[in-house]
Amino acid sequence: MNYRILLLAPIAAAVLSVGAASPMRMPNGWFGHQMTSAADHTLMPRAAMEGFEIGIDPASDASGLPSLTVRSVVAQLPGPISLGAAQQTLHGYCGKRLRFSAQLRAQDVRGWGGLFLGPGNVALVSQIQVARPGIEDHMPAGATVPADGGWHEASVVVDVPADAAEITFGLALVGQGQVWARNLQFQVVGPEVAPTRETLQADLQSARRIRAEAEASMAKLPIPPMPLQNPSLD
Amino acid sequence: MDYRSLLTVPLAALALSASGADTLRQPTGWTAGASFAWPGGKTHEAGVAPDTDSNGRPALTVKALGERKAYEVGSVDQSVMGYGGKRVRFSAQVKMTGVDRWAGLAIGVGWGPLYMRPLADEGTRARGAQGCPEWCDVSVVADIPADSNGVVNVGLALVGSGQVWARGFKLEIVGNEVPVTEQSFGAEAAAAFKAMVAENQARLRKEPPRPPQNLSLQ
Repeated sequence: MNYRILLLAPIAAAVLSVGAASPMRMPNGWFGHQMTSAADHTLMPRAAMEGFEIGIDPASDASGLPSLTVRSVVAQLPGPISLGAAQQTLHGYCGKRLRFSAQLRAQDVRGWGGLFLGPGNVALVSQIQVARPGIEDHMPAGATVPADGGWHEASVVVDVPADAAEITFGLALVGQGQVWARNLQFQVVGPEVAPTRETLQADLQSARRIRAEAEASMAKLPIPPMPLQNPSLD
Repeated sequence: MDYRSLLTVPLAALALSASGADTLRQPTGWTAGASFAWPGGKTHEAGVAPDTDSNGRPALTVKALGERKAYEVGSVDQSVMGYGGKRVRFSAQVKMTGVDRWAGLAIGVGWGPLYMRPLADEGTRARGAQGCPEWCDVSVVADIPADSNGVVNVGLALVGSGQVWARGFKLEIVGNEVPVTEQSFGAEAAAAFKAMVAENQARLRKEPPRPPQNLSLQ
């Protein structure tokens, strides 16, 4: 599967790639999903597509214990949310308490990196990326570890609402740096396991403010009306 | 002003891969796009109709690829800036055949191609005027809010099955004596899309659990 989700802007296209846009191996059943606001806009639109590498760390493949990784590969513009994730969407867990756990490693993270699990489908992370109104009430639970380069046990536990048809879980990086996960486990657990209070963190307010400011300043720009381009279809 | 932050266009929209499936000529300045039906691919094609190119009077066309659903849209359009606070008229000659839902000209406020507007959270923010079976003059008139970014997205769109053509495009600023088009563009497609999503969710709630795939990362 190799399809893309386009959020089309006329000046530069922001491309969410779902599938094989990354040079890393994407394991079967997993999907990479990303959007980057690159600081160096001359890198657009390639950078928009490839602001993260997502997949199996090649070094881990060689060692026989594969780890999933998300790594930022370009400098990002502050404000708009840049997010890369390796994820899966499942259904059929309404009313269940779920635990997603792994060994997690983080390095040089500026932002947030870790495991996430929450109600929602493949669009969940794009809704976070675009800071969709009200998304703060639907942020997935998240677990992160110190960005010291070492492996740590991490888990997220979530009660799936009775009306949540789908859940999405995976490894995400918001901002810059690199995270890895290995020894992944996914279980239905009992009431004795406490749910996670922490959520995936993204600066939604800054993203919205910067977008609103850009729109407002554009409204004030003395741009003369642009004529229709190429009406004769040459 | 830093236009790069406009990248975060607030469309939670699932759409296409634009990779090389366009067989029709793509005229400079215009952008073709269509819904994406997984796993079948693009639902419509758009560009210059080949027979109109050869007769010296080129027309844009949007053509459904087979039978299409009420939420599947194809369009060919362009965005122009500088129309905040203006009343604009977009006009052309339009003809259509086999259209079971809607086809015609549309004006949208703000960034965002016509084919994606029925999927947008904030509504389609677009007005539309329908074509007719033989060539006829069609125009759509809309007020562009003064506090908007002044961007207008204009073009030709087809919802559902059939084919539509348009030629002789004009975009003008008009006075208040010209009435605004009442018909919104894509509202039915947006409702059909929401219904489809709700149906899918209801079906998934009844299905047995789908286990996680390949946690061993092979």
